[in-house]
Amino acid sequence: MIGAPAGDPALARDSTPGTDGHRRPMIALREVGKTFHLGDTAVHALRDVTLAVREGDLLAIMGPSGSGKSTLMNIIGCLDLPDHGRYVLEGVDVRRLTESEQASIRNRRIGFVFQGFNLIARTPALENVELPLVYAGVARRERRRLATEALESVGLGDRLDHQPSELSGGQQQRVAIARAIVTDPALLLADEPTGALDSVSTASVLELFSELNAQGRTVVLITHEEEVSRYAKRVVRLHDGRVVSDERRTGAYDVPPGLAARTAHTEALPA
Amino acid sequence: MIRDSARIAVRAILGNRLRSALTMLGLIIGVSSVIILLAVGRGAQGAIAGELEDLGTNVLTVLRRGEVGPNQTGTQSRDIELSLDDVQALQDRGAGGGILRAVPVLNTGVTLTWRGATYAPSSFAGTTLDYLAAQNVRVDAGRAWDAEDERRRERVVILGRTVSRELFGSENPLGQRISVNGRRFEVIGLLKAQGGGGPFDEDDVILVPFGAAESNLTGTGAELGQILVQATSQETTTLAETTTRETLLEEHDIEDPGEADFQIFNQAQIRAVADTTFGLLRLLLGAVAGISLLVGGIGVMNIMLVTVSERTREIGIRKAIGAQRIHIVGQFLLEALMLSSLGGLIGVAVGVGVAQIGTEAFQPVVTWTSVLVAFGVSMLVGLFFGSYPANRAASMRPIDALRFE
Repeated sequence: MIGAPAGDPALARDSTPGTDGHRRPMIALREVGKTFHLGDTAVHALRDVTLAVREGDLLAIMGPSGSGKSTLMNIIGCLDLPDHGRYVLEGVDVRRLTESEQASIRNRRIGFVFQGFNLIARTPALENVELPLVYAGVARRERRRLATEALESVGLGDRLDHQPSELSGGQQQRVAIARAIVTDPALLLADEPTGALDSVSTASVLELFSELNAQGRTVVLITHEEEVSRYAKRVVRLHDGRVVSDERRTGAYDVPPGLAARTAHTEALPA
Repeated sequence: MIRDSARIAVRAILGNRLRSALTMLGLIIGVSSVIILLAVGRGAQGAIAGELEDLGTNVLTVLRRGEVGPNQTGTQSRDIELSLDDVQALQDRGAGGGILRAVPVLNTGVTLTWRGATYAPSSFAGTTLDYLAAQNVRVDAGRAWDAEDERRRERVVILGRTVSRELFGSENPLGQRISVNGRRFEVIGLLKAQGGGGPFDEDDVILVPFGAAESNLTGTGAELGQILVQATSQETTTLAETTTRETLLEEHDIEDPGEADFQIFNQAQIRAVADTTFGLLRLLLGAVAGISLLVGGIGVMNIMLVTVSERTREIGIRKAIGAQRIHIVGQFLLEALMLSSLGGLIGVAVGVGVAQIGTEAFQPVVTWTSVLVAFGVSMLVGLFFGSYPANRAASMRPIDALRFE
């Protein structure tokens, strides 16, 4: 990492992975830029964003609409590639990955939660949650067990056979969270997860994220609501595609207690 | 994996029942028309072949060359004719030459009248009883004449059903006396109906004993219209033909076979021509049906493209949570394949069902090959026309697909 800003120790550690296993940055972005072209006008969604996220962190990326936060999430989630700069996820340079390898990373290492829930219509909750396991090639019986467990862990053990249209917004988002965690990913990525929810559901969904973070998962929330950022340990603010502030809410380098004890189904997933 | 994709596909198909049904309709029509048209072609061919079989594939027809082909120089064409001597000569060669029997046939134009009704049958034969055997026809009302009638040159006739109907309508012709070119003959029998119809109506015929025809209608020593030569079996037809040619060349003192004043027609040749014709007809029908299958396939592609664009967001979700390209391709291909195979199955049922409806002329014959080919092609059509939309779905970038509203 030649030329890494001296003020960011997390990023500097990227060049020596393994010396401090669980503290290396899970996400390392360096001078990442992305430009969209709308007709003749070029829109600079991201300008030289440099950011490192530790394993086990609960990060909120905030900013008004148009600040580039969704673009940032797409890049972090391997849904899109930066125009320039470097993105290293868990020590892997994403730009070097094939399309298929990116799909594989999305499948096993990242759990997505979207604002619009993005559940598959006319498909029961259980099957929605099973889907990432289907793509991971997990056997049927095991899939069913893991998906049931995931739904139980978000408090929907009694809604396995309900279709999305039969569930409330908060319940649908819980199904989406269950789907995001069913492959036991290291990183949970949520884009405005409470944008479509009322305040009661918002609170319960955010508590769920806190809980999942306490179990050791790295969580990145994209939001424009201050309410949401209160649950975060660290808040990064974007404006016009640049990081304008980066503050830590709790003690620095606070590793959640649950990190050492990952949930039981880690072994069940093929590597 | 396949089971999951299958369940998703079934859900998608059932989720849009009307659209799925309309898509399948194209294939149903395509597949059933392939089966029906091929069955009709096969049935018609079978019917014609059956009629040729009735004529007897082991029967050769000998005609004077002048009767059919371009006439010879004309000066000597009247000198040598087909005669009873020829018949006798052929008869003498017998089974050794592959000949079972040779039958003389006198042909002449006749007009029949009965109580004011007049009719001119298209075919008149003054012949012997062997004619019935050679032509594989029989008398099923009244009786045929016997050897005694023949010897005494009795003026009796056997009528085909068409002649009987034209002359007598619904009245019973048996025992009636009719006028044949002004001579009175008694109707003693009716030929069994041959069916078929068309320009070669085998029921439009009148048979008269050879001797009676000779003395009353054509005059003694008249030339023969044709000689029927029946081979001992179908296998010996070729031998019989060779024997007939040799014998007649010898009888007529002709050295060069190219100068022959007669022609030999073989039913097998006629049948081969008919087979070729029907083969072409089937090909044509098959091509027409194949085009309708193709159109059905384009319908599948159309619907799959609509489905892909409708489910763009779903594709985005699936890709976001880690679906590989093959998962998406497989998903949509399976859906196209399900539509086309279900359409194909219904098409087979409809096709086979409709082909059971026959006409009196012939019954369509469904062959297993046509069913398998039609069904197989409909599956291939689904695969082929489903693969473009499926690939289109799979190559969408997840980010674009997710943004799609």
